[in-house]
Amino acid sequence: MDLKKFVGHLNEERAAMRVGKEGIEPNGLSLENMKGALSSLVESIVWTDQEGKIQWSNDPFDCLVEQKHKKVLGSKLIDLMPLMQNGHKLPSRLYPVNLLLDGEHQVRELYQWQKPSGKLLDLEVSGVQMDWNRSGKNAFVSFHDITEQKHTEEELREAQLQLIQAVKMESVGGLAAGIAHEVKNPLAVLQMGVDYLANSANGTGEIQAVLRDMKQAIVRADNVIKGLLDFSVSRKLEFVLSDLNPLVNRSLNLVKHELHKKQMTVVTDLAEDLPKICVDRNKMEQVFVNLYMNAIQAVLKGGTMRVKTYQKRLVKIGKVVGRRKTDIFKVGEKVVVAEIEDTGVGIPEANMDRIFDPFFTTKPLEQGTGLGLAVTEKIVQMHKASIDIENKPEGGVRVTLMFKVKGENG
Amino acid sequence: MNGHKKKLLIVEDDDAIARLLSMFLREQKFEVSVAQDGEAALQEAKSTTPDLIILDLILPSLSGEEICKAIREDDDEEVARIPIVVLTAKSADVDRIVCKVTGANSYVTKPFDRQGLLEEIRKWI
Repeated sequence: MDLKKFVGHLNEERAAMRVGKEGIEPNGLSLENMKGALSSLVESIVWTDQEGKIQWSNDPFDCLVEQKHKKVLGSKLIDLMPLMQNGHKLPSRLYPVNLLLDGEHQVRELYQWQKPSGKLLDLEVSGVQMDWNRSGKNAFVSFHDITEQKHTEEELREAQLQLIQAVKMESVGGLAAGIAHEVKNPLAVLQMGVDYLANSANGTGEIQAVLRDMKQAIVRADNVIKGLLDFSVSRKLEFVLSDLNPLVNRSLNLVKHELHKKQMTVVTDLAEDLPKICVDRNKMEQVFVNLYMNAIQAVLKGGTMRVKTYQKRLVKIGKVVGRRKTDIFKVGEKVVVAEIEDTGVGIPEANMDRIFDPFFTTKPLEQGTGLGLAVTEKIVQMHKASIDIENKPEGGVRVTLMFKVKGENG
Repeated sequence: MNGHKKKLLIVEDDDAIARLLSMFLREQKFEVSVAQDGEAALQEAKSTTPDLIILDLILPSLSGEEICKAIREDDDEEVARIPIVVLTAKSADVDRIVCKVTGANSYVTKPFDRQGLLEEIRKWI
């Protein structure tokens, strides 16, 4: 029902009653009749006195707040239903009832509210201010539960995004596969040719050195092509319910040699009893190896890399996740987090926006193709996880990976 | 190698790769023949029954996958059993799948080094 119309109607009725004698019920409509009608609506409806105390509520409201009617009456609405907005508790002065009692005529806004039983609801709250008895202002408020609707909208949007991404990747993928074939054949000729010359040229050390350089150049070109293919192949991931810590350790093992070469110290702080997460193990290992390699390449000899895992419940959503704001996570959701920190040179702020761009790199040619973080970000996105990279105030970089816990908000 | 040289058939349409491959494999004491397309490859396989086939996946007319299937489904059991090492220029993921689907024995991804290829060949003969 349109609340404004309804209240307008109510005010008309009241005016008519004032004109007539008390007890006269024009058109057969009384407050009691009206209450009866409101009780049978699906919407949750309350009205409060000038202090925000509930004077009347209908059954759906009592049901929503999971309280007995007797308990509801006389309670302050703000105490029964402390609302949240964008993950923060709504300050008292901005509470809809208080806005109305402070003089707003009408409010209509989306809020979240956590039910006593724990479920987080999205509510559309609309209210109007009335002065229908002489004792002061009243607030008349209705609550519309749009949790399901919002969830469906989000799923739809997510599906659309995935579709767009898939179409994009398909065109890039087709291109990459085509290029790969065209480039890899000549590379194969070069590689075999170089091998042939290296084995037959009983030439000087100089010739051998040139051939070694050529071979390295071939490997480099091949790595770019492989990276491009990794980046574009949008095959289905094989998700398995896994523990994070063994994955962290296995990937560490893969970069053991590089760590040793740089004489680095690795400090691990892996929380016990982490909930399992849903990952494609191979792809996620690739993510960790990429991030470790970045850390290793960023530090000077003898640097330190810290790897930490823990679980937490989100109190608020981080500022920017990856490059984009996302709402893959919800406030109150339990997540598993992995942090990788280095004592390296950090990322110049000017480059921060570009670190995930394909082919963006500041590394020397033989170290980077500029595809590492692009591939990493893509894999993370396919896991509906998030990656956040920041400079630490004390120097070095911190990478934060955040994973959904199976069974938490889908 | 029991006295006589093992016969290899290289199916590759890229002249330069075919030439370098045969040079290398002859050095390694194999007997080598080259076919540049699918028709020629099938004919050669049936008439000479090589000990192993090195097969490029992307070829004019018949594709490597088709050649592979045709060989595996050949009436002559000896031909159907010839080990096949596929040369591919795709990614390792794709190659593994292709290998499974077509019935090739193994694969080498381009560019490859000579030792790697040799090891793959030696696995089968």
